[in-house]
Amino acid sequence: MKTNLIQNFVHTQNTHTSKPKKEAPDFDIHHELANKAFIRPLEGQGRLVKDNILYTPVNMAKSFAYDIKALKGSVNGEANDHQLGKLNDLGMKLGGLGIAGFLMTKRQTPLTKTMEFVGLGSFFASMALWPKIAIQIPARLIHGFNVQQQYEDSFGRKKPFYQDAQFLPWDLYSDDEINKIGNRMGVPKDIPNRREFIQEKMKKIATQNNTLWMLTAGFATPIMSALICNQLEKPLAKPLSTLRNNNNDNILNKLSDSQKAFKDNEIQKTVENIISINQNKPLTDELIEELSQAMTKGFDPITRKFMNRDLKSLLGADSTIVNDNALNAISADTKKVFLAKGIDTKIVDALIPDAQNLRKYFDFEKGVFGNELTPVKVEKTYQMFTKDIRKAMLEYNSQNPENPITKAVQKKIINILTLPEKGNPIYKGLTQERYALLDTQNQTKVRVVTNAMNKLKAEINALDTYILHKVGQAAETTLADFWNGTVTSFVKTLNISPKQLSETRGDRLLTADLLHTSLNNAAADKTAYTKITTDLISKIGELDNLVKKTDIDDGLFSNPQEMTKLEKQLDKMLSSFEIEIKKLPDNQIGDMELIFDHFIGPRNNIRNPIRGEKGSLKNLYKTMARERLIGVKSAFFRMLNTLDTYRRVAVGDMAHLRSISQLPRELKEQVVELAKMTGLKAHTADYLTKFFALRNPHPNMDDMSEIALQNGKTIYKYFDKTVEEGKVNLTYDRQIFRGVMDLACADAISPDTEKAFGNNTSLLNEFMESRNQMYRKLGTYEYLEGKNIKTAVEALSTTDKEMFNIVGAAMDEVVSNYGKQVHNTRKWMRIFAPAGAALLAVTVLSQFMFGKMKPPASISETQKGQRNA
Amino acid sequence: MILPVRSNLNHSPVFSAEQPAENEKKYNHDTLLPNNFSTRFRIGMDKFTNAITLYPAKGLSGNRNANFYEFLTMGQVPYLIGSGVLMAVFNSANKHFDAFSKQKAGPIGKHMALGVLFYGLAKSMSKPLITTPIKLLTGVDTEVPYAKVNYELPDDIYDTDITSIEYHKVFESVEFPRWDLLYMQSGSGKPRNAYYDKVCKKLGLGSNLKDSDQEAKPRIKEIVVKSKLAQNISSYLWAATGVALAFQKPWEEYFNVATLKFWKGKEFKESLSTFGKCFERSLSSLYFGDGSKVGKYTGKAMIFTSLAASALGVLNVMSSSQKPSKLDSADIIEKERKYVVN
Repeated sequence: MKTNLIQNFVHTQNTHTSKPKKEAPDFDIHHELANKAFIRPLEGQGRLVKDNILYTPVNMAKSFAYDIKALKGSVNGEANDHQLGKLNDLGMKLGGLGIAGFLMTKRQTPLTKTMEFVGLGSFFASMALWPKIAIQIPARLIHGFNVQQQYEDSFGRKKPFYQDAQFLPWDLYSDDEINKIGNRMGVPKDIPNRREFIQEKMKKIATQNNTLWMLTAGFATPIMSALICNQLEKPLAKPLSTLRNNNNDNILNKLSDSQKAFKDNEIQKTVENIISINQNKPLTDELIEELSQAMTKGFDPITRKFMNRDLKSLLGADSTIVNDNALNAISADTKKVFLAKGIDTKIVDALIPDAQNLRKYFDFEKGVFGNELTPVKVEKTYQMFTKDIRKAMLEYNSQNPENPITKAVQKKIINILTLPEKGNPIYKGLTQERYALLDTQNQTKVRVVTNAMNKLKAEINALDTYILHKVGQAAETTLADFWNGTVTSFVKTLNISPKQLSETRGDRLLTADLLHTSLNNAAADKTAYTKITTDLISKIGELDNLVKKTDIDDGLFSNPQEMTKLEKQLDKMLSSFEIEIKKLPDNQIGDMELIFDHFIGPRNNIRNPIRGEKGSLKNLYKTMARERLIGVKSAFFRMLNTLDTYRRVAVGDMAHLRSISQLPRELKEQVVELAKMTGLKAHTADYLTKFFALRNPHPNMDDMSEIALQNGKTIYKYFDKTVEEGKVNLTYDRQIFRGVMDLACADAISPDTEKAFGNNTSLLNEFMESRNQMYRKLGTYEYLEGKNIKTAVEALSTTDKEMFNIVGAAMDEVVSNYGKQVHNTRKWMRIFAPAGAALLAVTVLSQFMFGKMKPPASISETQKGQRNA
Repeated sequence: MILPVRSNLNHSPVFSAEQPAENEKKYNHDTLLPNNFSTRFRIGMDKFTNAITLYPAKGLSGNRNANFYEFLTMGQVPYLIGSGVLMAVFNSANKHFDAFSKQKAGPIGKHMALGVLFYGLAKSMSKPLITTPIKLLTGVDTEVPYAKVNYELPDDIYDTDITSIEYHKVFESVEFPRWDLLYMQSGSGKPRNAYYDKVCKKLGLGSNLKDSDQEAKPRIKEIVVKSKLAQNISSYLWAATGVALAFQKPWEEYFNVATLKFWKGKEFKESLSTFGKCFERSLSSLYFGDGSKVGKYTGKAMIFTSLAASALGVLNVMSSSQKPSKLDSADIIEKERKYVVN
């Protein structure tokens, strides 16, 4: 805020007594001050703001400085209305950041998190841009002046010139400027008070535009903001995906460093807490479970179970002790159970000694009291004690011949004595008190294992993140981004329009028909085919850059001798875990065997080492990554292979259709169509059931002609026959099945496809290997009733999982799902884009109606009138 | 005020005992109004109806009497339309989606719509958190309204109704507060400075002051500035907290039964009771988090930041940098009493 000079002057006149150091010779201050005319309003220093866009950063910096100053002043209670208004804007932005920040924490992926802030930014941008685009620019073009003109007042405060129609600082416009605007608006030049008339017209236009702004902003801002977000999402996705992928590579490459970011020491803290509470307390089952749970927090339940068992063995917690507590429990609980079964008190007292006598029994007679009882010893003691009860039963009968224990009661007693461990009061008593304590020695052991688990957890967290972000089945993983990008590009190159996608969305049959037509068209045209295949191959090739084969093995052409980085890091991580565990006193690593088996795979005498190794945590990490990768790659290789099948059929060169060359024409047609449809639609189950399809059960075996082609399109003679014409759904057919498999996967690929690989021979080899595996593994299963229909003698044994991965996703499903997304976006756009456009049109067009004012009669006419009068 | 000279040439003179129409108006001079619910509601309705009818009509026709008050009042139009459109942006296309997409997009859209509603509610409901304690502690009601009689230029020579009523607040402008409205009228039976006396007493500036108005004015101005700052910042933080509340998962149960069809008694009652339950559960979910690491803190952070902003705002208002200028401190400070010293 500038200093108010008038007030300063008045103030200093009263209080300031010292004279100026040096007076100007021709300026008598006292004379001037005595002259009241001196005190008059100062010259206005306001100006119209005419900064261009280049000044935006400077203006933003100035505005920020102004806001800070206003904030400081307001906190101290010194601010003007303008400053408080600016602070309202500041509050709004602060609140907006709060919303975006909160919603960001609710989002899981970088793009969705970023979009929260983009949404906020676009909303504020729309609020600022709408009046510029829809009001200011059109008004300037139509009327020739800026209806959102800003001015700076004498105190340097920026304000909208036309904000208050009743207070317009017209003196900031020069006559020239006003006249120029008047000329542009077509105001006659020879009217009286021309400037005033132009000003009135400008005021009217500005008032109308301000109102229009208020009425349209509510519609425009959210729509414009949403449209901006919609348009920014794709351009932002790519760099964010690259950034995330690079960060991910760093996790794997520098695991020892990157794991630090994932270390939260939660395991260590919880275990230390348990130790501090339970120092020197018996290691009961509950305590062991508590420790196991804390040590394996974030691991799977099997790890917790094995940790429990290993800890028991490591800490000697399996052993129990017979002490006074145990004896009290044995005596009291056993008596209680006996009495509950309706056994006479006299008998119970005779058979079950009280705690004191039990102590004599266990201490002096059996030497068990106060000593360690291993599980084996517990069993022995239990047998011994129950045997003695039986003996006591016989003694009782001999001593009480007139009132013996009846056979029925004896049976009841024996039933109680032989109860299973859980409900057996004697067994429970013998095992309830733990021999081992959480003493210093055991604390050390617990700490060694805890430390190892704590470190391992950080590394596993890092690897989890790496694998999830690379190949996980989630949004915005490297693999998901690759998938989306490839499908989008594929559909685009096939020239399938968004409208077609929208119409066929979610319907496999319609999508398959659409794809069939598109692929037939593409295959018939060499240029189109080359473009599609080249693009698809180049996209597939990108995957090897995104997820390097040296990082994760995709199973195609893998060298078992060569370890991937992921395998190396897994080995390193688990070796380091072993080193940590080896720090146990007396090298008790053997006691942690179950955990090692679970993490790495069985190391010693396990019945089925291969199965154990497969189920190990280490192997799960490897296979999960590999299978996700091969599944996705197979889906795209399948797309390429299907394209290739269409192309070979369209060209009709029998050198590339060897498998059907010897078939009669009707079967040729069936095989060709089924091979195409299998490529588009088949699931693993279709290979198992050997392709259900409508066929003629009695084909014409004499017509050995070739399938006719016209401009690359097949012209069928038999295939288009309908059910009414005799076609039936055949469950299996050896010849057809083999024909389809041979045609799709065994015949030489089209030279056009081969060329599309260019120099990327390694990818070509992978593709050929993929075809080979499809051919040899997908036809292995025998169909129902032992019908042995296999691809060929080369068929390889495989598993369901492997078949599933090789088949990959069916193209019709992929495109149909993609169609849903396209439809949703398109539908939204079709509602709001026209709404936005219509609003813009109405806003702009209505401005042509603004500012209509009848100018006063021209001076010449007035004078003429006066003369006539 | 120089009133327009009325031409009588084409105008029939009125020979009637009735007063001219303008004298029937509710206010014929600027009038201080009580700050109660009914006045606030009446003013709100007046402003709202004008904002959607009269003011746009005046503005679009470029009426020469259109003014800043009308422009500002029309500011609520984009707020209301914008809220509706924002809700529509996230919901209206959903019905065209397939079942799965609809199921995914539906709750997001509804959370968003509820967020828009809660934004507005939290923003306006949080302001009394500042103004009420200030009124109680200082006696200064920063929100007290008054009716302003505004004289306009006649639209034409027959236009005799040249006044319009505007509703402002006494402390709307910190630079030009309407001090004059706070003096008691001579016929009221109260001392002229009664209002300022009360404020001075509440603020501890002393009683029976000769010129309590001069003592109180700078302090009141400071209170108004600080209170506006506190409202400007805290209301948006509360609004953000409102949005965060609307995005809690428990609301999804409410979305399934939500209805505004009050004529369907049973359904409406169910909707209301579910709203209550979900509100409680959502509040708890916001406070305790959704189980994620960050989620444990974000809700608490938002609630406490908003609370702190309101509390600090009030505390800042209560701590004055200005000392009474005309009195000796010994006359003011009672040694037995506890003071908050800034």
